[in-house]
Amino acid sequence: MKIALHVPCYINELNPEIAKKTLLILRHFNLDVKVPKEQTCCGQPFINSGHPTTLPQKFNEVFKNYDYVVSPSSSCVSTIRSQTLEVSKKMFELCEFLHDVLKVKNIAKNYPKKIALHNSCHSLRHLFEGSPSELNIPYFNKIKEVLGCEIIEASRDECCGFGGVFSLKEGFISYVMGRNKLDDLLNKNPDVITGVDFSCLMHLESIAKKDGDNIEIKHISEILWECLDETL
Amino acid sequence: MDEFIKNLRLAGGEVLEEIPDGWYVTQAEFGVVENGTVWVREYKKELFLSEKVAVKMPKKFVKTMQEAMELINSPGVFISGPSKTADVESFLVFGAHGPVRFGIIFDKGL
Amino acid sequence: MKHYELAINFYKQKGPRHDKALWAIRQKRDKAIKEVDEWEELREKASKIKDEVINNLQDYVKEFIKNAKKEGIELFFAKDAKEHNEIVFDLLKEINAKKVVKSKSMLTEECGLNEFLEKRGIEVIDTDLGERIVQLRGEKPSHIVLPAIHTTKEEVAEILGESNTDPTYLTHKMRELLRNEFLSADAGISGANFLVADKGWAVVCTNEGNADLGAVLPKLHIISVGVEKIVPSMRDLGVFLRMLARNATGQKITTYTSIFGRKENGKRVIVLVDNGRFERLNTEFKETLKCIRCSACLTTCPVFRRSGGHAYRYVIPGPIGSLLAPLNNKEEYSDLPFACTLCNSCEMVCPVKIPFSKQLVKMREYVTKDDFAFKFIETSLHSPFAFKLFSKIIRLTPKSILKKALNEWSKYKEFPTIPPKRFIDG
Repeated sequence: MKIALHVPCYINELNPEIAKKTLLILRHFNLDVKVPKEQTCCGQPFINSGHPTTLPQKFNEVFKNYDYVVSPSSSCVSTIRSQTLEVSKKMFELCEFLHDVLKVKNIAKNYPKKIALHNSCHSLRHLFEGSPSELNIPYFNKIKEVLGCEIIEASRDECCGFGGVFSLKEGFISYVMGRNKLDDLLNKNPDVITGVDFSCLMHLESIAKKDGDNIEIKHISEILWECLDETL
Repeated sequence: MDEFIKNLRLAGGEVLEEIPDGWYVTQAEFGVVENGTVWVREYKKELFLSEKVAVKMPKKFVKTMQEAMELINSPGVFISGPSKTADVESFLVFGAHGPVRFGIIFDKGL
Repeated sequence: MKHYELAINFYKQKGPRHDKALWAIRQKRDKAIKEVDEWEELREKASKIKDEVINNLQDYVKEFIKNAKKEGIELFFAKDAKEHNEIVFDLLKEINAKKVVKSKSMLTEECGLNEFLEKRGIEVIDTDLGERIVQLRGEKPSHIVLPAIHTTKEEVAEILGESNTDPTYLTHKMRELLRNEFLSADAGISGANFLVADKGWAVVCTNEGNADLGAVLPKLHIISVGVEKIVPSMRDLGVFLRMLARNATGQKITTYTSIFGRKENGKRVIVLVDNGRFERLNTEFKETLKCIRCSACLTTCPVFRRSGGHAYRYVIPGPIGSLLAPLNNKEEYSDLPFACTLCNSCEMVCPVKIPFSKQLVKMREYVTKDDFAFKFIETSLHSPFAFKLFSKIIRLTPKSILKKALNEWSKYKEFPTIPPKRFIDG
């Protein structure tokens, strides 16, 4: 099984630790994981801001010869999945890959902190890693299954207000939505807020910092690696 | 029938034992279980102008609106409880323009 | 003013209350649709029926016209808003009408019928209580099913000159005032939710009974309706009647589902309106023609709930409005497809499965002009080397300049720290 790690460009720039942890997690399961050096950006920022791009085709060229492409970002995965490229069907978000392909569960069973999970829109309503409340389908949540511990969720599974280009065009409503999401989660007294999309988490953290909320926010790969790392 | 009555009441409708004075009375052909609505063929202004409307109906029901469509061969109106609105601060009020009260009376026998 | 500015003003005055009220309706809707086991199959069916209709629209229009005429309804076809308004005006002039009672119709809003008739000396009374409230306030509806959702009971009392703010009192007060208008009106105008092609009937769904009073009291009843509202048969209608009210407000069905054929005591006229719809069939936005105006996409939209409908400035606001408005006027509404986080909630609630996210992204492209800077960056990003160079430049740029460049972010949030080293670094 040839596996490639996709390092989302914004993670490469703003939080490279997430890429490192994701790689460590995959290698923990004895997988042959390569990190293609030629990868750049999947094209999402251009598509979502209305500019034509051939970056998804470039992405396909880089990754098409792998069996699986694993990415710690559901928004990049859904960008590629919504195209009709060879790589479209091979790309998985990290938790989705652990759940669907490796069939690993309960990694964080003994995690000592109370985790709040932010179900991001791309994960929930584009990749269906869980059941969106809008649909009449049985409840499920792959990320919760992968974690396997008691999980706090927001009372509304609505958007946190990041929305990429939205956060740069509608700063105020973006802030209000993030503030509402934080309040919703903080009301349930978690120790840490996590999720599969660093973009949402970065947005929430920027608000928490500005408003002086005392809450730890980290990407799910960091929690999963904490649980898997035998040297700790 | 219980499910029909439950849904009729949810929509603000009543089950009447006899025809009270001062109510406009008309005939319904059947009821729809999934939403407590009744099919009235006779489309008269009194249905909407009257304060209180009662319909006499047989104990004839279909489960869903999809099944109801099979029985319709003329224009008319499905009615589900009294006229209502929630346009003032989402507060439900009966008697928006039409009847304030709406009831059904089952035909005797069968 | 653009969406983001209007949104700030609205949110600061009324946002939290508006959001709460609409979220409550979203929850009622969730409960109602979860009582229908086959809900997701109904969506699939409804979507297929609508695909069938829009792919053969010309044929269905012909069939409907033929059968409606047979039924005894007078039929007109209007190619645009102007023609629609003129047809309606001529019909009213014929009977020397002075006053018209109108029940909610998004199409007459789209055509600007009220203004058109009022300029020609015909009084138009909106009779849906919510629409009457906004009409008296000199506003437009802010939501297509809950037109006055942005107002408070105090504001309603004020517009009626009342000091009592009890919703029941105010509703019955309006009922009294409007009853007189109904009894003295010369004609009634309404929209229609569905047209049944094989029967030639028009179907109107309301809770208040205002459309029915307008249809049954005056001698003339005009139905103004877009061509895309056709469904092939009664069997198909059944699918939509199970979904419309549940999805819109969480009711199992509206109080009245009126099926109109020939008018017993006068004349019924249907004005079928194109107004760009046939042209839209040949564009990548044709799927917007599947919309049944249930309004669930507005109610669920997290941006709409906080910004209010007026921030969209178009007759139809929210996600579906953000697709329709730019087709009407690209320059004026170019901000709307961006008043959206692509959260996809609209697509999840849509009863006819309009692929909202894809359509909104396409609409962003449609309204966006070619930009050299974007093109240059996009081309450069094909090369990891160039990417690294950009990354270096950003790291060397003083934070104050970055903050300024990303002002909408920095105004409300901390600026993220950029670590010195990347993971893949050439």
